[in-house]
Amino acid sequence: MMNLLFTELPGGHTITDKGAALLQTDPHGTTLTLIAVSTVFLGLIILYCIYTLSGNIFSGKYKKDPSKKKAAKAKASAKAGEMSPEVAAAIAMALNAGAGNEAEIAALTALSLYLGTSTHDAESYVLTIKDADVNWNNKMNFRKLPR
Amino acid sequence: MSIQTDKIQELVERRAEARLGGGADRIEAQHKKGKLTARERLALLLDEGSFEEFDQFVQHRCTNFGMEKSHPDGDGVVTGQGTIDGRLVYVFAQDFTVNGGSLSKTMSEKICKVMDMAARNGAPCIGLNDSGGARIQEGIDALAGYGEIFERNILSSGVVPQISGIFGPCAGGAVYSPALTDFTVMVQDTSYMFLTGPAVVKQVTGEEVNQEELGGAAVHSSKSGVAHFAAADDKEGIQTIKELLSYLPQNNMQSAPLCPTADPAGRADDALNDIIPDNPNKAYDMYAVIGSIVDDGKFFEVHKNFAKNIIVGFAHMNGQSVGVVANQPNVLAGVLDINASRKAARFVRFCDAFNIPLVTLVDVPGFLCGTQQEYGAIITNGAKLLYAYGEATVPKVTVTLRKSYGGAHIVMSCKQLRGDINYAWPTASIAVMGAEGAVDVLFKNAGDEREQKINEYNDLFSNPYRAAEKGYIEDVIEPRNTRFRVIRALETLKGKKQDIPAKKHDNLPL
Repeated sequence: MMNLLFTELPGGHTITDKGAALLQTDPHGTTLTLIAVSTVFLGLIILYCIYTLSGNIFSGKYKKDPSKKKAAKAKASAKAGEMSPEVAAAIAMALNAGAGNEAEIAALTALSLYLGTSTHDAESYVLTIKDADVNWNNKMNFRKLPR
Repeated sequence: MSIQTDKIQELVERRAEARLGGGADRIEAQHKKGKLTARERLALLLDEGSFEEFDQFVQHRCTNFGMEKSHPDGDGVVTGQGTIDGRLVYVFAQDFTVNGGSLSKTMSEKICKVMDMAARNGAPCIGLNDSGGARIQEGIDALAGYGEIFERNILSSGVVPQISGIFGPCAGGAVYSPALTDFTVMVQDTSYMFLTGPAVVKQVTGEEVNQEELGGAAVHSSKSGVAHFAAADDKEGIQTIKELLSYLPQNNMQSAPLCPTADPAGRADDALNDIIPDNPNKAYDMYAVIGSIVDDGKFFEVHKNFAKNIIVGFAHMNGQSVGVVANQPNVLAGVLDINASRKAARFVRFCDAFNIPLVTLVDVPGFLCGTQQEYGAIITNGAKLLYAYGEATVPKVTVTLRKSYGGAHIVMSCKQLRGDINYAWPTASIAVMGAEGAVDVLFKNAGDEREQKINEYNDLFSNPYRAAEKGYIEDVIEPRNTRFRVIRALETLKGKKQDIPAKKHDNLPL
């Protein structure tokens, strides 16, 4: 008898081992369905990630902020124990001058540069307003003169 | 040759004769003085081929003192219309080679005609003055001519821009026409403006003074403020007029032309974050701030050499023409005095009359004190600036950079003077007065505690947050973002509509 789940091969052999095991463990095909659907969705997620990433790269979203870059560079050089001539001069000046307002300021500036702790206020830098040609402030008859 | 050809030939010849003015010799003499002729000036001023002359064949009607013997066509003034950068303007240029450019009744009629046309058609009127004064032979007729010109100057004021170029002598009553116009350009060494010349001055007061010292370009552009610009020569003077016009609208119903720029509106300048010195008594250069926030760093300054403690001038922000008013900490600590108040008030009123938004950069420690200022009516003159800002209905964006103290804080476009958007830098100190002055008043016998009290006062008032807490400023902004924030404010204010109560006219404290 021919069964859809069992295929007769030349020599009288049949596929019974894995197929039969699947039939036994998953008689209604639920696992198989889940695996198939997951594979499709995983593929879709991977495609979504690829397109999003490439889109952002081409639109310049991942362009580095120069100030951040500067700060990172300063931090990196600080970690590496390097010091720019300006920083060194400022610290030296502060140490030589001793206590005092200007010395403190110089030392603070030097430390700020050394640690790369520059911060900035958040700003969009995008003008979203569109020119609207309205008569709201039309200059005609703008000033009411007494009669 | 047909009769018609003859007549055309006559026209060509008469026109050629008229164009010669006082003749080749006098033109040569004019050139020797380093001056151009009236027609040469107009050729430089106007777009090539755009000039159309009016009243070229007008002749004077005077018969006194031998005047009947000579009737030059045009009568010493070239009038007409043309374009500058494609924009219509009306012009008159006095011709010194014809009767010394003296003003006759017919000359005044020619000038009045183009002034009327300018007002009627809504286009700027530019007058190039080079005249010995009233034509004495005509007597009262010449004075009547001046009166008619002045009346038109007054009626056109605030309607169309009026610009005067002084390219030679301008004496006596003649000086009042430039004084009534919006801007005056003088040329160094060749132009003079005074009511009475050196000879009369010596006769009346005994004072010995030469023309240059009495009414030269250097004097009027730095001491009296009569001239807004001092040019090295005629060419530079004309170029100044052309550049000035590029910032102005044609009339009071229009906006100034947009000037496209590649300078991004969102350009941040980190240098501004470090420009304010830590020591509040140390100066810095306000030009650096202006240059940083305007399009391409281009600033067209008005009254550059007069009252240098305040800076006024035109610039573009995101292509839009703006009037900039800024205290200059580098000169007298940016204090307001009589001349600074007059200078800024006149500029603010001009911008308001011609729909040019105002950007005000504030760092003002107060008004200059002392008997000289009080006797000179600093109260009245300070009130002029206060009045000008208070009545202005154009968009007003103000940024307080550092000090903004006392009455000067109010005068410099504060919120209560209908300022539209007021920002402050974190370094701003908006208070009644500086910390040291306040402590000296409040704690006369503070003694050793003086320093502590000063620190207390600084903590309490030497910041922008007291004003921000009360809504007297819209926001505290990071200095590097100033350009973007001012531009965005100006863009949002393009539709601003604000009125003043109906009245015959205001009563500005003069």
